[in-house]
Amino acid sequence: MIVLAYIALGLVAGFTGSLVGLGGGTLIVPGLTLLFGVPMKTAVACSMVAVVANSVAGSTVHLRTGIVNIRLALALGTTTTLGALMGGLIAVQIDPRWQYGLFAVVALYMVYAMKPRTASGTSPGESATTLRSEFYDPALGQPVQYGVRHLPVGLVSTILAGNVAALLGIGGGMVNVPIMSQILGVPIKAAVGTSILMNGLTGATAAIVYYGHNLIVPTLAIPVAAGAAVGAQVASRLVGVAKGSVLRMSFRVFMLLIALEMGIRVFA
Amino acid sequence: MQEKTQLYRWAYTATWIGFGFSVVILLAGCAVSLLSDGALPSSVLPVGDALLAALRADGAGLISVGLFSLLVTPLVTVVASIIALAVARDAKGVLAGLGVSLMMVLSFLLRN
Repeated sequence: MIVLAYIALGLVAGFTGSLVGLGGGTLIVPGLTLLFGVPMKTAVACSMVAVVANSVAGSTVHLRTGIVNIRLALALGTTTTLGALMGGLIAVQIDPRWQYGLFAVVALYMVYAMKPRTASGTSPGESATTLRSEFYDPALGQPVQYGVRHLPVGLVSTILAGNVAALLGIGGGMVNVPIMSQILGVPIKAAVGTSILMNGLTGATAAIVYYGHNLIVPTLAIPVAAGAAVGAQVASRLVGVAKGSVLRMSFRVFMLLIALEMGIRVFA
Repeated sequence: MQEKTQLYRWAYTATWIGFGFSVVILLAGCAVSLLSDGALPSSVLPVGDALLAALRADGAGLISVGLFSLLVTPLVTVVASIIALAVARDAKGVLAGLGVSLMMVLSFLLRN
């Protein structure tokens, strides 16, 4: 029966997280710790397995369509995996209350980051010459060509993304996508596709450390990852139909409650 | 353009092989565990022990190998990309790929 509950948690987390573009890990860790009383480190490790499963499954789709910029993913991957390695090694050593506290801060950041705002004036790096790539955009009905700007800024920023992702068992998309689209000038669709591939690199680097410390519990990790993968697939088909504003507002309220609960646990 | 197509084909194929392999092994492990013990194992086995146990068709061994191969799949994608980039004589791409691989191998070496 508990296995069904874990699958349901994975489904809800994968569905909601993917619908609002943050990935399932954001809800898996609070779900496991707050609803099921799973220790923080175990929840983070099991969530990381779900992040890798989602990334691998999603990458098969995005690599086929060519929307991923593999060269950019590898370039940023060097620093994001460095951050993830450090995060993984730190996570197995520190007091879990630090993770609760950091999660509360990140949840508050998400509440802020998902605030509705008008379209940004940042244009894709059409004229940039670094790591040039192109993909076919079905919405536009034509290929989109772009290059990457300010790569050194991206390299430094993604260390932080990898580190936070590994410490908290979440995908790095919430940091990587804004960096790629706003600073590096990558079109948003390519940024999302590239981020999904990068989540696998980050997640795997940290999850291998967790595997070595015997923190991955198959009875938790397998049903949650399976549920999250299915939920994310369903969400990817509904993303155009769902009412984004209502979803985002509900998600923000939910994340605020999670931040409060996680914050309380720091002092418990 | 042909070089890009080759890079994507190699990365896609490697990802699919890794994903497919891990899912099949995981499903087999779950089936064996549920039939023999009525439940999934509560912990993973160390990689060496898991391989030996999987060869004996032990459920916990198969599940551990399946989970570990899922975690290694992104590395397989990177290795396939490195080969395709080397064929295309993209030295910077190869270097970046080697950097990522190094970090992932380090995580394996430092996992304990």
